[in-house]
Amino acid sequence: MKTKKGKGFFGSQRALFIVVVGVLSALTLPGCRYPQDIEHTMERLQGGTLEVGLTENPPWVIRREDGPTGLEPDIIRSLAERLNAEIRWHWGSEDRLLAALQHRQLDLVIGGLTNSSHLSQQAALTRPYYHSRYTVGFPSGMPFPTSLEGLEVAIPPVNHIHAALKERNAKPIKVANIARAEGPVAGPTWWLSAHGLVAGPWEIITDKQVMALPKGENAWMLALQRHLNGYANIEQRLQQLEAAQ
Amino acid sequence: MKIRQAYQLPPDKQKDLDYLVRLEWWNLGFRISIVSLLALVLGSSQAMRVAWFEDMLSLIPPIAFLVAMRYRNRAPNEVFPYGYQRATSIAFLCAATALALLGSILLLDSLLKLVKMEHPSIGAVELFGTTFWMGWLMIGALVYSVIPPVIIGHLQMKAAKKVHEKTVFVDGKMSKADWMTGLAAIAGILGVGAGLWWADALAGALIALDVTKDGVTNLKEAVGDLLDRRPRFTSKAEPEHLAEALEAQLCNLEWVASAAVRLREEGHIFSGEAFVVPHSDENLAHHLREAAQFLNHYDWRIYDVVVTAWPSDTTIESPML
Repeated sequence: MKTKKGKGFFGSQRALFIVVVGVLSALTLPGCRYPQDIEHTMERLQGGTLEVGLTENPPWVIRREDGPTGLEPDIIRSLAERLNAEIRWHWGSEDRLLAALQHRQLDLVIGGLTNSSHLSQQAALTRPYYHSRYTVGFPSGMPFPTSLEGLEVAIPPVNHIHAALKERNAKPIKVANIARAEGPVAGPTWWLSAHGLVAGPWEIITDKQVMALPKGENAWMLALQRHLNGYANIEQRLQQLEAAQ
Repeated sequence: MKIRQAYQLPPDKQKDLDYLVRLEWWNLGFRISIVSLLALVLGSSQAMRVAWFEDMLSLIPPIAFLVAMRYRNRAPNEVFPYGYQRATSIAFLCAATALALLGSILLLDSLLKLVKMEHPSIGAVELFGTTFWMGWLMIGALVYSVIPPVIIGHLQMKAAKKVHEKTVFVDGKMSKADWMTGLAAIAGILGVGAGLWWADALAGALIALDVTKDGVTNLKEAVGDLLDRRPRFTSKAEPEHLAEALEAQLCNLEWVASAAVRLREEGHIFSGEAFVVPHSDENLAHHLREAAQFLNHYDWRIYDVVVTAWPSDTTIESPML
């Protein structure tokens, strides 16, 4: 009696299983290229136009009269070349550009964006393609102290590392022209080496650099992510851009 | 004050129970591994999120059971003269409430996503030097998440039936049906991969509906237990006919004219009252004590049946006879 019931139970489960497997394979087979975009961005881009929104934020995005330069425009140019796409650049504030992205007027927003929850609510973010480590740098020849405790560290007047430095009991001092500061300076590693400073071993904060895409464009996201992951020497490139400023 | 004697499981049942406890530890271990694995690959897929919440909730029954096992073997004392048998029922009620509440919240959330036509993003990951679609990783994790529960669920049901552990039995039944929700989540992710924005939220809604249904079923069951509903078999929804069997046994005694019994469940065991009308009052006190001892040893699940005598001019109404 019991075994009979058990068999019936498994019988119906098997039937369901076949149905589910059928549905799954029906979903998988027609589009062997996985994933697909919900709004078909990739299909439109190939041989079409890439609409890029950008905000000035050197050295990530530098505004010149002859068009944008900087790390991120360079990355996007090389991707567009691969996709055989034209690029139309749209300058604007981050807020406006993100709104346009939500309405699918743009395919991409760049401008040295960093990973944050408020950003990921409005757009689909790439994985961080570069980790910008903020630390304290010293003029070459000056020995590293054992800790940051009580150390006077120069920081720019507008910054987001003041609190983190305070937490480590360092003494942040605001300096109007940070490039001319003498003694220890806090900044990202690429900035420090571009200004001839030797980066210390501490990690005060780390910015995770991302780009913003419309939500649901998963094939476009995968293509961009592949391109970003294959892009080497970002640190060096940032250094060069900063040194050239 | 009269404090109850502690309940003792028969040795063979104690062995079964020990096995069940071990099984629940394994179950908990696998559940934790599933929850952590899914947390690692959790993207912004709604179906995945709901499946993850479901797996988190499925941690509650084994934890509740294992915690309750610590308490319920305590002997009855002056503060708790009826003992701690019901600890499992309370644990069961808590788990069911959580399931029903969270299930309906997730259902609403999924429906809201459908109404807002939200486009789910499932990004890319880099693993072992290659960049590929995160969906594949999620599907892999989901496949892992369905296999152990199906096997453990099957073992749980078998073992729980032996020792009349309803909470574990229901949990096992749910785990066994869990593969459906896993597959629904996989279908949702594949749907998104195929460019169907609604597939993910729809799968999420279906899973949430299943969670809610499980919660409501368990809630009914738990409330029934706490309201002293007629005892039931672990595996069936039909009432247990133990009360009738006890009545028949009492009526077989020489000194009994008629008898009626009512039983209730106290966690995994039964207690209740027996009412007998004797032929005469001769030796009545002794008879009653013997009858009580006899009833309490009739079935291993019977813990404490109190026998009361009524004068012969009363008629005992038993709807069961």
